[in-house]
Amino acid sequence: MSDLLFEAKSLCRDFKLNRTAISGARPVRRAVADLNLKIKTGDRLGVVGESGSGKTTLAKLLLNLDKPTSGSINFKGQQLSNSDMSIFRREVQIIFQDPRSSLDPRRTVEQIILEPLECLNFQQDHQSQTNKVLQQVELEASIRSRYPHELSGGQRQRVAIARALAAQPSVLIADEPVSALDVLVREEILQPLSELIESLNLALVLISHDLSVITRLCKTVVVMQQGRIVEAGNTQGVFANPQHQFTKDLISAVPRLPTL
Amino acid sequence: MKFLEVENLTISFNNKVVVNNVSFSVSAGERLGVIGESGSGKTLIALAIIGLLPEAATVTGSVQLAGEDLMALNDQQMSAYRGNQLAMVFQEPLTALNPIMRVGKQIAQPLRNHNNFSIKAGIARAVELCTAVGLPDPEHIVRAYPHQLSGGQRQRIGLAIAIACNPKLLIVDEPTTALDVTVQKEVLQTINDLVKQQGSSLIFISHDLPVVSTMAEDIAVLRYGELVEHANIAALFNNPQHEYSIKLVDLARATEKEFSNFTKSRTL
Amino acid sequence: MVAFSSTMALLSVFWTPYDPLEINPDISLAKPSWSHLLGTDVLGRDVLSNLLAGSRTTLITAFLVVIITMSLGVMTGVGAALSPRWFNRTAIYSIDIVLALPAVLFAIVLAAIHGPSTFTAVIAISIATSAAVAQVTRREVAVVLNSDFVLAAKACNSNKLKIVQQHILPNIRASLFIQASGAAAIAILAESTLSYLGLGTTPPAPSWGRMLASSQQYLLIDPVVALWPGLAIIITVLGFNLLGDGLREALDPTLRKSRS
Repeated sequence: MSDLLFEAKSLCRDFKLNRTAISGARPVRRAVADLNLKIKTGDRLGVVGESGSGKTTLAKLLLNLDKPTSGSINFKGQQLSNSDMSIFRREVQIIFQDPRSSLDPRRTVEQIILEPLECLNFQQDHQSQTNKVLQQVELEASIRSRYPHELSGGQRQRVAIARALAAQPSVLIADEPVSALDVLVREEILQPLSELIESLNLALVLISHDLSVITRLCKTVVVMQQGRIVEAGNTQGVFANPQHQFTKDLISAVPRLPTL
Repeated sequence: MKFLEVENLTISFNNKVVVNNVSFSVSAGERLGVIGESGSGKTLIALAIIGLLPEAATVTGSVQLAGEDLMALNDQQMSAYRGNQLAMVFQEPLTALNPIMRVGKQIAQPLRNHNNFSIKAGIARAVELCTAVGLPDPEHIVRAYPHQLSGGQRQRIGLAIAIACNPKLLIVDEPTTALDVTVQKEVLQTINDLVKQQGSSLIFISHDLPVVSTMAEDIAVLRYGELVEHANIAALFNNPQHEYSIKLVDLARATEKEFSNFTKSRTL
Repeated sequence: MVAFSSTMALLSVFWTPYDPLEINPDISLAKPSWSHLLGTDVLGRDVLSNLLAGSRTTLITAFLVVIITMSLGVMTGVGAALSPRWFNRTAIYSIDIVLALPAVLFAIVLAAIHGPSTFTAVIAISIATSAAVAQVTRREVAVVLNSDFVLAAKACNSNKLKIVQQHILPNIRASLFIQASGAAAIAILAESTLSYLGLGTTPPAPSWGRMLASSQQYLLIDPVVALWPGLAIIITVLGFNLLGDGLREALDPTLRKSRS
C-alpha cells in the first residue's frame, strides 16, 4: 500500500568555506555526510538535531533547492536531478521556520497563495482553491487582502501552511514550523496541522529541535548530529530507549516541570 | 522593604498603553520569573527597570532599587547603576554584542567603567569570568570576535558581561530562545549557579513556562501589558487563578505528560 | 516632509514653462527692477528668464540622466546578482573600475570626440552614476535573493523572470526611488559643473552652470548675478534629496506600520 516516495543514498553535501590560508585547498564543511533515508506515503518522519546538524540542508536537498555533492536522491523511482520539476514541485512543498521572512512583505496574502497555483499550473479554479485552503488553516477569507506585517506570527505561519497546501502536494516538509512562535500559539498551529496531515493523508517530514513537537506529530524519527544520522526508528522506541549518547543528551535536556 | 519594588509601572507609546499599571517586587537573592507572550510587554518592563526604554516611550510609576528611585535618575546617574548594581542579558546574542570589538574587551568594559580596572586587569578578569560562565579555552576566547563564536557561546559572553561587576540584580530576557536544547540546559544551569554564588536577585523573562519553572521561585504572568497573576511556583502550578495562567499551566502539563509517555521506560 | 520637498521640486518645475523673454535684449548688468526682476547679466540678458530657461536644461538633463542611469544601473545590478558566480564576480570588478573614474573624465573624452554639448554631458554623467546604482542594486538584489520567500517561490517552480518581477523589484523599489532622486541631485550638480567647465551646455543655450561661470568674471562688479544660479542649484538639489527621503517613507508600508 505504501509507495516509496523519497530514497536518499549516501547523500553528501559539502560547503566550501572561505580560505583561511593562502595555499592549499579551501576548507570544507560537511553539512550532510553519507546519509541514507527512505520516505513512504503516510510516513510521519521527524528529523531531530541541533543547529548545524544538517537538518535544513537535508530539507533543501530533498526539495531540489540544492544539489548534493555526491550520492543520490530519487523521487518516485526517478533521480531527482532528472525529474520534471513542474511535476515534482507540485508534489512536495515546504513550510519554513521564520514566518517573518518566509512571506514576501510586498505581497498580499492572496498573491502569496496564488503564486504556487500559477507557477505550478494548478488545474482547478485558483480563486476557489485559495478560499478552500484558507479555510483549511482556519483563517477568514477577509485576510486575503492583508499584508504579512499586519498579521500575527501565528497567522503568518498559517498563511505559510496554506501556501504549501495550495497545490495539493503529497509530501509536506516542515522546517521548524513552530519554533519562532510563542508557546500558546504553537498549540494553535500544531493542532490543525496535525488534523490536516491526517485528513489529506500527507507524508510529513518534520524538522525540529523541539522533541515535544516531534512526539506530537511524528511516528518515526531520525536523529542527526553533524550531518549524520546517529539513530533512527519509531519515535516511541527511540525516545523510550535511546541508544546513542547524543539522543540521551537531547532527551535529558528537555526542561521538566517541578514536581510540586 | 524589598530589594526591587516596581509600582504602578505604565508604559505607553503615542498614547497607546503597552504596559498597564504593573507592580511587583523582588527580594534580595530571590528569583522571579516573568512569563508572557511576545507583545505582552515583558521586555519593556525590563528595559524600564534598567533605564533603556526608547525615547518615544512615556513612563509613569516608580522603580525602586534598595530604596533609590531609578526613574528619577538622569541618564548619567543611571549609567553608574547599569552594569554595576544591575545588569541585563538580552535576547538575541548576535545583535547584543559589538561586532567589531573582541569579546574580552567587551567583558572588560563594565569593569573599566565602574571599577576602574586597567586594560590588563580587565582582560584578566574577563578570562576568569569566561571560565565562570562555562566557556572552554577562555584565554583564546577573549580574543575572539562575536561572529566567530556560536550562539551559545555568544549568549554566555553576554552573561559574562552582565555579571562582571557582581550585580545585585540580574535581568535575563529570553536568554535561551535562540539556542539548542542541550546548550539551553547548560546556560540555564550556569545562570542558576552564578546567581546562587553571588546571592543576586534574578528576573528571568520568557514565554516558555517549563523553562521559567526551573529558574524561579516566584512567577509573574503578563498578558497584553497587564499583570494577570503573581504567585509562587507551587501555587501557580497547583492552583492557577487567571484563565490565561490556567491555559499555560495546562499546556505545560499536557506537553510534559505526552513526552513522558514516550520516555517512560527510559533507562538512564 | 513629502509635501515640503515636493513643493520645492515643483517650484523648480514651475519655472519650467517656457518664458519667451529668453531672447536677448541689450540691457547690460542692470540692477533688479520691475521689468527685470533679477537684473540682467553682462550681455544684457534678463537673469530671471535665463534662470527659468536654464531650469529647463537642468531638469531635462536630470530627467534623462535618471532614466538612463537607473535603467542601465538596475539592469546591470539585477543581472549581475542573478547570474552564475563567475559572471557576478566579473561584473562586480567591472563596476568597480567604472566607479573609479570620475564623470568628468568621461565628459572630457566625449567632448573631445563629439564636441561639448548637453547631450555629451548627459551621457557622461549617466555612465558614471549608473555604476554606483548598479553596485547598490546588485547588493540589494543579492539580499532579497537570499530570503526565505524567494526560496519558497523557487520551491513552487517559479522562474527567474517571475521572481524578479514579483519579488525582487517590489522589494527594492524604495531603494530605487532614493537612488533615483540621488541620481537627479548628482546629475544637476554634475551638469552645472560640466557647463561651468565648458564641457557641457554651450552658449548661447542657458544653463545654471554656465551662468555661474560667466558671472565669475564680474563677481567684483555685480556679485548678485552669481547668486541666483547658485541658489537655484542648491534649492533644486536639496529638493530632490528631500523628495527621495519623503518618497521612501511614504512608499514603504512596513516602515510606516512599525511607527506604532
